[in-house]
Amino acid sequence: MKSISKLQGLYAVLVLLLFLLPLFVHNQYVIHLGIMTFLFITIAIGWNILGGYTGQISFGHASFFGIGAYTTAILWLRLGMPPLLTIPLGGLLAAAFGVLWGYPLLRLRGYFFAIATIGVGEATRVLASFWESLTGGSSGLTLPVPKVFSKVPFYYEMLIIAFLVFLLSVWVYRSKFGLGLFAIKDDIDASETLGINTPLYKILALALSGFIVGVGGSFYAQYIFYVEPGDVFSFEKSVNLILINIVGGVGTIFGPIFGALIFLVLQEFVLVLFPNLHLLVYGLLLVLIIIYQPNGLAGLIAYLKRKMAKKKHNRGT
Amino acid sequence: MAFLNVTNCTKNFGGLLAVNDVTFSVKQGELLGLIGPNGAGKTTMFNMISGVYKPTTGQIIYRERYPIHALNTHRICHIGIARTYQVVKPFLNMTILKNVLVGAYFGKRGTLKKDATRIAQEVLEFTGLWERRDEIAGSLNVPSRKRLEIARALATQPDLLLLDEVMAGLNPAETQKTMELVRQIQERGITIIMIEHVMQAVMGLSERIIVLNYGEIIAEGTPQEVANNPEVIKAYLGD
Repeated sequence: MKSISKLQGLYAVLVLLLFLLPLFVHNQYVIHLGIMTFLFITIAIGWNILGGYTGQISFGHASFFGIGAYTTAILWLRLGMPPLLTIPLGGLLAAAFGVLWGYPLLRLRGYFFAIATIGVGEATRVLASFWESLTGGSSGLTLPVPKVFSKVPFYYEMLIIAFLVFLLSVWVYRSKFGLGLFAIKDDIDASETLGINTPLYKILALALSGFIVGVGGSFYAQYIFYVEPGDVFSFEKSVNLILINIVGGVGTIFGPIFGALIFLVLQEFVLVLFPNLHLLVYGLLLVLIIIYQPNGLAGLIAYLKRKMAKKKHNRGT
Repeated sequence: MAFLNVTNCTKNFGGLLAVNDVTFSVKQGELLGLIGPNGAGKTTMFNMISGVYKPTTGQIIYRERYPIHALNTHRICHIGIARTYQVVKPFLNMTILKNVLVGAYFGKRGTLKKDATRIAQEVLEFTGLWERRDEIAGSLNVPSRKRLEIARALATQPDLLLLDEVMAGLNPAETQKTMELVRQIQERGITIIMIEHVMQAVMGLSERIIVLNYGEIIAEGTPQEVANNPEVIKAYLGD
């Protein structure tokens, strides 16, 4: 009991430090890195709810990100809506889109579902590129950059979103809903026989997952001031979400956080030092993790913790 | 009043007639044995009663008001029908306790956490798995998995329990223990249909036995009557 409260204290201090960071650090680049880290944590958690908790691997989550981004861009640019207000709408529209394609596609199992989601992601990107009257086509939409611009408000905005999304993911993990999702992941036939409405649960997981990634996309548009199908709808973005979760630990609470941290560190530092090599480093890491620690970094930490507890136990007796 | 009515049920897989025009009924509280050679259609029959397959033609009525043939699988669980699988399907990454909690939580609609926890504990104690509740299902051997399969089905609080070869692969001592468990389940007022190849178990436990062969019922009666039926002997031993 004591060690748990100690751990919780540590988390509280960490979160507090993150909130205080902009007061001490005025380097805009560091603030930017913080924002991108929170953003990637958020959307990786979003993917994890469907892919990690429910076991439905999606290669099309960039579609949610793009829909969130374009919702904000279009509502802001065409209707003059305050960008902050568009965030929930971006999430809701992404969730609705998820329900639309999830209803037919979630009947597919395993690899078949995964392959179908590639189609969804690519089709959405192509649609956004050609629907010029709405999306501005492949040249994208440029949003009004304010005259005075500070990254700090964005830092807090994204930190709060990431924090809330993380709490939501913890709640789901421990709830009845989450138990149902993990049961579906392990054995869908047994789940159905034991009374779980598996089609409903899968579609709810997809909608929640899409909502979170849509929120991330919506934020991204107002932070970058530019949306373009080749960026927000890119297949690479979908794959990155999977990679982050595999490195961090698919289906774990902390996996998306660890994964996003490593991903951004590699992207920023290795990219600067050895352009083009960062993908190689990432690929190597991925191979090592899949072979030696399929539950990712979170699984490795849990393993070490168990080992240490055992040692302590042995010393005690 | 019949508890379960199966009327003119047929299941066709492409050209294969797995169950052909089968009609029988089950009385509340009875223990019905379902036997027959491999491929006779026993498990297909279970799959239809539990909603995994829909009958090609025919109907299955539960408690004279629920049309099983038209309900979703999870809905069939909610109205009180549970089953075990011949090839057991535990949630491999969960503990024994969590496996049973899934049944307790979802077996009936709107179950609260404290009730689910209480039901799970009660079922685990009843099946003798409580001490081992923290073991991961994936690490269990086959007899333990079979027991877990029964526990998980019981956690849904069924009125009708379908047991698909729960004795297969058990040694004589384990078979005795499982037979005792089945008897105790029946004493709780749960109606049971049991598919079984272990003759000692099915003859010892069943009040009535239905024999399927090539998808059709070839005999029905008490264990004694069935064992002496020439049709049955022919189906099992050949001419």
